[in-house]
Amino acid sequence: MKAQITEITTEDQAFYGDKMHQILEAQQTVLDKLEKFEGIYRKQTGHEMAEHVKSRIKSRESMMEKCVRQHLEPNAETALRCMTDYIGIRVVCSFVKDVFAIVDALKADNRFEVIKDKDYITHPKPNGYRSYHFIVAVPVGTGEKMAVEIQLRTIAQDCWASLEHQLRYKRKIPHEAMLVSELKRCAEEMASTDLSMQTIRDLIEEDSE
Amino acid sequence: MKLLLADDEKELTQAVQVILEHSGYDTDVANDGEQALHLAQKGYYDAFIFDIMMPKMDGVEVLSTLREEGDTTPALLLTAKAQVEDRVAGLNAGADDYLTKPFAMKELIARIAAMTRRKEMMAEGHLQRGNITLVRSTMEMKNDQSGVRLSQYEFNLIAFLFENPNKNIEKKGILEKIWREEEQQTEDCVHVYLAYLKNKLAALDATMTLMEDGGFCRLEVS
Repeated sequence: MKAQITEITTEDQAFYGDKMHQILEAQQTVLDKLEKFEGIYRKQTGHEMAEHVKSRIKSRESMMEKCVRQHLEPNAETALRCMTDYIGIRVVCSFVKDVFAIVDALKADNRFEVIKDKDYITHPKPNGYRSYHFIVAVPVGTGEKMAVEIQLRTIAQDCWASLEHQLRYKRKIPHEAMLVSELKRCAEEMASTDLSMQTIRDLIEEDSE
Repeated sequence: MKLLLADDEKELTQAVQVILEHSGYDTDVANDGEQALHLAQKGYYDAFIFDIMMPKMDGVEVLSTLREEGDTTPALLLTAKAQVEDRVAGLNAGADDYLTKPFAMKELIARIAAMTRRKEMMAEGHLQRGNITLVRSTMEMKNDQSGVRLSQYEFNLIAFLFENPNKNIEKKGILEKIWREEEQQTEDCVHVYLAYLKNKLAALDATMTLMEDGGFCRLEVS
């Protein structure tokens, strides 16, 4: 597993200052855990754990914007105290069961304290969005704890989220309510296909056992 | 609800029409077979009530013509003679029910209600079991928050099981019922479709279990 890590600009470096070290350490701790689990999962099941893994540190620009929006001082100290998404990791899996296997593995690691746990796969958002979100507090060398936001979903869920995101920022649209419900229908059809593909994999494996 | 009543006995027909209208059925009247056929071909009805003995075209002929044209409207035949042959011919021509003259109005109304109820349940079917609803018009299986869209065979299979919960059902019977047009299919496809549905029910946190045991399956709803 080779995680794609978004490069840190000199601006970001300057914004987070000497906290950047701890941020990178926490990010690496979770990525190492995922890499280790990938080996175990492949051995146990013969499957790739994930199609791809991406990680990013929230840029100076969007972090400052978010602070201002929430009427907070736009600096690193506030960001690390009040925000939980300065480290974001996205894991995109081929099958639904892979997502839940990773979630279970991360939760079973007692170094990680779960701060927020949102299963939007079992309980999708009203617009049809499906994904597993959770935030863990990861200890670093200084004794501090850093929040890491992890989002896991299938290729189909990722595809829907990415297309929906592109459509969402269009200004005023005609028949909006109808199109919103059509997008939800697409999410439900993709969810159904996801589960059919999962079932086919289960059936193939059941036969070869 | 709109009915088409066809009978050549004008006085009786008029009286029946008044009572049906009074019971909430919008009723069109035909006084011979040809007129009945013409009205049925032209308009939409929720049920037909045809007398068998009519001039120009008898009720059985009218009904079999309509059935050949693909009309599936529920139909009740009225017969003067309680002849077995008559009733059999009517049912074979596509009637859903029959009533022997003279009849009690109460019974006619109860039979119309039963016939249209059956049809409605099949057509609209918001079938509900536990926390899961099936919506036939969109082929959707959903809980109170969200849902998945099913394929036609998946939907027909789960709808059949929803109508027959807590029964051991032979997979062979399901194959004949749901996959009737596809002759080369085997019980394996029932197994695969049950597997799809199991995963989809689980994804919706369904409060029911779909079980398979050898040649049988069962939808366990508490």
